[in-house]
Amino acid sequence: MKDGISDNIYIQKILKGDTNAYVMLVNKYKQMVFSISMRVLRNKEDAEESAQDTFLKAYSYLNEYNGKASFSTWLYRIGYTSAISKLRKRKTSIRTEPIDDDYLENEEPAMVNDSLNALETEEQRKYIDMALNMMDENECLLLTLFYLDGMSVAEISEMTGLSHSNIKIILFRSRKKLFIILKKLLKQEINILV
Amino acid sequence: MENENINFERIVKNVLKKSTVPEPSDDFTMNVMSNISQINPGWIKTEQSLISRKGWFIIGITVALVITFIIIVSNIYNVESARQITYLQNYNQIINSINMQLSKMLSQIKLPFWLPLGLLFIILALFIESVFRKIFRIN
Repeated sequence: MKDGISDNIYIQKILKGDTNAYVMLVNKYKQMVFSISMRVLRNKEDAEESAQDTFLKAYSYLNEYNGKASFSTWLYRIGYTSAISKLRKRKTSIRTEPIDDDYLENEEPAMVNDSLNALETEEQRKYIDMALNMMDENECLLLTLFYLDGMSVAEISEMTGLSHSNIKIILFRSRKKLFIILKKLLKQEINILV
Repeated sequence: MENENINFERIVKNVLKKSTVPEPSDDFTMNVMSNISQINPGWIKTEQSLISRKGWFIIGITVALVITFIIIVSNIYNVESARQITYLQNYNQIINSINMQLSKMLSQIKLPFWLPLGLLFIILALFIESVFRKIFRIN
């Protein structure tokens, strides 16, 4: 709530002509906006461009921000639509991994986690990044927004325009998919542990 | 079943924490701010003086016209008041005198043929400028 109040103070300053107050908002949200763009676009240059476009669009339409949703949600929504439209314009599609729904046993996530823990930090990161990159952009984004950034289903819904039930289904499928991909990638390590 | 789900959720969270967090470039904020300085979103309210330069020009012309009118009228009134004529007569005489004086003045002036066109052009230019200012919200 405090964050919302301070955002509104900066917004009012900007609307009165104090352009420099926008620096505070850019610094505060650049990481998250860039992260959203990166999860969707999977390319640093494109993500950087999309994140910059997001802040320019937000600035241009700042007078239309009505304060009903928090500024961050409003900004992330612009970021998400900007990244998605850039992705659609891009000719090359990202290869995603098809999964078999019955491929993951109940105990397997713990096994995958154990074999991950047996690796060096750098190795762990490499495999997890690889797995995330093999997922569909929406699955990857929703997983990180929910589990990593701690956003609620309602906030994700407001940002992406997807329904609550749709988000829950995507989250269920994508966390399963993440472990199926990790299981494939870590096959050798799992076999050693077993 | 529920315990398994909670456990699975916890594992997902732990795994994702180990992923690379994407970082924007160091000059990200600087690039955004330099791009912002080049755009004018229209809602920015810059400080403006209460009366614009054009406003002062119009006020100046109006004041000059009023003063000239008063001087002319007071001159004629002084001459005519000696004759002790009625108000209406006085009024007619004033108008007639002004007409005569103006005719005299104007008959001595030779206007170049392009002057009315020039004046029309200036008025049109001012009108177009004000319309464009309104359309594009230029302060």
